[in-house]
Amino acid sequence: MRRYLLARLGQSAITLLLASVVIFLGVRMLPGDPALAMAGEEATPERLAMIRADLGLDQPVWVQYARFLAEVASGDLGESTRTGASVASMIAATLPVTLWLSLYAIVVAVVTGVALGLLAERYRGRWPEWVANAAALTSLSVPNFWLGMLAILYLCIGLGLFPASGYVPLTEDPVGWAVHLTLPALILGTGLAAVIMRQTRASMIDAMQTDYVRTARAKGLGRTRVLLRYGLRNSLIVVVTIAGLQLGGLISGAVVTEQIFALPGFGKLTLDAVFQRDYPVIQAVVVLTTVGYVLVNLAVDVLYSVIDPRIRVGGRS
Amino acid sequence: MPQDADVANEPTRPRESTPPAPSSSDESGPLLSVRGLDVAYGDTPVVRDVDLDVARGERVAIVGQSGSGKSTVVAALLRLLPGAGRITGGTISLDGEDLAAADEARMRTVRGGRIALVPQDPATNLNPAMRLGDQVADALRADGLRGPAVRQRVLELLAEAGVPEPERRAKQFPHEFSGGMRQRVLIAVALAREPELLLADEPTSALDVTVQRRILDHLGALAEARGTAMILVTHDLGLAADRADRVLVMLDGRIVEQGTPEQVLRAPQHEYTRRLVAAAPAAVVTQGEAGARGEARPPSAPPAGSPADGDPAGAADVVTIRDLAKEYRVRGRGGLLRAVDGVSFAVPRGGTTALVGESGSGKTTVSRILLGLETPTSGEALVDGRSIAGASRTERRALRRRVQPVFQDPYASLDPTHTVERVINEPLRIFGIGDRESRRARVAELLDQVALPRDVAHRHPGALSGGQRQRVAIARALAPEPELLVLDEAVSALDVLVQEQILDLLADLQERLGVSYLFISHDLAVVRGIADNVVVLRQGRVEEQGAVDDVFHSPRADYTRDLLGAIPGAAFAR
Repeated sequence: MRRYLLARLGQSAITLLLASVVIFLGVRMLPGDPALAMAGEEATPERLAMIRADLGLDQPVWVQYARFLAEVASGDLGESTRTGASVASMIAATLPVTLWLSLYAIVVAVVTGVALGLLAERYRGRWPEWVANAAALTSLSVPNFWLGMLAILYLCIGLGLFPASGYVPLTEDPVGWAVHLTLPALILGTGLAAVIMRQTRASMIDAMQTDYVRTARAKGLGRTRVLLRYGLRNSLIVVVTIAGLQLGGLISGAVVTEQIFALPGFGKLTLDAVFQRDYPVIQAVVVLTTVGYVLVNLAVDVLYSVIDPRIRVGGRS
Repeated sequence: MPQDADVANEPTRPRESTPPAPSSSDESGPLLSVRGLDVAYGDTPVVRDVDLDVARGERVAIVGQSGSGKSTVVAALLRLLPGAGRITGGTISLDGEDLAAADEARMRTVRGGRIALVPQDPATNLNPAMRLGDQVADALRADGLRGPAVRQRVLELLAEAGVPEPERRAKQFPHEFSGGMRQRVLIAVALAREPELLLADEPTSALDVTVQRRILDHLGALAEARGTAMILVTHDLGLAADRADRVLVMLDGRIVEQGTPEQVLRAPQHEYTRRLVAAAPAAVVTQGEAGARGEARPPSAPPAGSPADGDPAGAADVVTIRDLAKEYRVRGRGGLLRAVDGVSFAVPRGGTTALVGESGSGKTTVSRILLGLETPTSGEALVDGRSIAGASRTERRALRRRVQPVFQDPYASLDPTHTVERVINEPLRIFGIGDRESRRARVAELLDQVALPRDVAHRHPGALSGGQRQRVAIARALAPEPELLVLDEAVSALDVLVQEQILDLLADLQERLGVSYLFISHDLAVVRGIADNVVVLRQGRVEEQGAVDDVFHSPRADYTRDLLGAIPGAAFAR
């Protein structure tokens, strides 16, 4: 088990290093000159050169990369070229909103997705399956922003069930926090829930046809019990994989959702930074997203080994 | 069904279920009485009008080839038919209660409690993600047992089933167990609630013969001690005859014959049974094993090949294996596994050498080295005096052409998206033999040789039966005119009658083409029919080798005697 974890950690580190190269070069390749953007159209060549020297843009690329790595490693993400505020503080202010939103959405998605998937398999060929399938197809085909606008129109403005916008930190007012986040999380989670539901149903159908499920039923166990004890666990590998892979979709979904519900989150920060060509912020955002992605995949691998004991031994290379 | 039922049809009893009856009770009727059972998958009937009685404590065997409907009967008795399967007619009376009409809640008290299942494949019948102790415990919990008593009973059951150190092993997962040990766990599960009837569906066909014998002995003893009745489903007539009081033969969903083992073996009434008895290769072996003076074998099988066997390593040999060894690094333990350890033998030109052993004996590793798929750690594997491992690229290519494989599973070894013509043509193209036209003619000729109609060429493997597919695999292997076929369990997956046909074909091809065989098998009975020489492998070492008759009649190694003794079918020799 420890070997398995160490191997996985090593792989994650290599992934991050490779990702850092891509990020670094990618940001450099964006059209537009940051020095020009800072100084304005009227700047003299001397002023531009000064800004470039300030930002280290006159150094060879590999020196810039080494500096970039050293800074990221020490937690120094630079200052915004727009506001001059430290990028780290900007992220500290916005990241919790997005983390909570995503976490909430994942929980919503996994719980409803797995539950509906189980229901669909348990009542195969009967109405619960049709309802679950129809719900999944609908939420997959309707775009988030449309669903969000409908929800605001009817649930917030029409019925007044939820606030239409804004955010309250958890530490200040837990109830307000929950009230503000619930609707965005539901909206953000539906697409993922639909994917998870369909995967759960499909892999449950496979699992329920295995020999060990028949043997379990021959013990005299009821169908529901067998479904939960024998089918579910062996289907979870697929569910966890899908949930992990869909995280990218969740992050881009968060950008849209935050925009609709006016949540001061990471997504909004990203969008603003891209529009304003705020390199240090873009870079930091991408770095953090990458780290998050790698960490989630690491977590998925660890979960595999918890779910399936065969993965614990030695570990596949 | 006139020839049916040694027990008179019993009037139905009151619906109330009787408490689990002790074995030799006063109950007069049969424990289980099936009448006119019909089962269909969708619209296709697979079991037709089956009548079956099982008395308390009786052991009944159902024998049939794959697709005969024997396993469907078992699934129907438990009302666990897969997919679109359903009972379309008849009654299943357990102590007078009709299970065919029982609801699900009722069936749950029957399953495990009164009728328990010992399934076929220990590799797939245990939940890979659950500790074995819990899987046994589930059977007890289904009975409503709770608390520390469950754990206590689980350990008792595992110990009874022959699992050593039950305390420790109950906490392990299935992948940490060998096949035989897993089967013991499944037996513990089946016996957990002291059922009155055990359904053993090919319980050991996935296991080695010696393990098979131990497990069946153990299962038999446990069932007998409890007075549990048993239905043993098997494809192996010899095994059925050894282990049952009564044998039923199924064909195409019907029971075509039944009687005591003696009656069925000595005086088979139905044509199909007669063919089964004639084909059963076990007969010859057990006589040899019994040390009897080798009564003449039924003249069905022709003698194999031209016995050009001379001294080993002589020029007369196609293959010479000398001090062959192969080591594998074992992950995690830093150790080395010697899969093959100093093996030497030869395959005579135009003859057949059989490589016999149980799983893990190294027989497949030897064949892979010979095929050039693995390199030996030391020693030599020579084909026509030349080593594949040490050969140059072009030489290796030439050597590969001389040695062609036929694998075990005819369902997995043919690409389902290719036509038969493409399958057989492939080695011709790879070795650049002939042009388009001549290759097409050659494919037709090869189909003739393996006795397949020529129009098969345009079909896909999916449209062929298992036996036909194996003929295609043989045709493919023969295509580049090799000197040696490596037949790795090439008939093990086939039904007995089909197996016999393929063995006849192989013998015939050897006679006509002079091709040599390395015949790898775990099945000594089959080896007897086809090989000139036999090499017995155990844990990578040669335990014994010699001419087939010598080894079978007077085995020198204890292990060989064990193997021979474990072959089911002793009943034939009586």
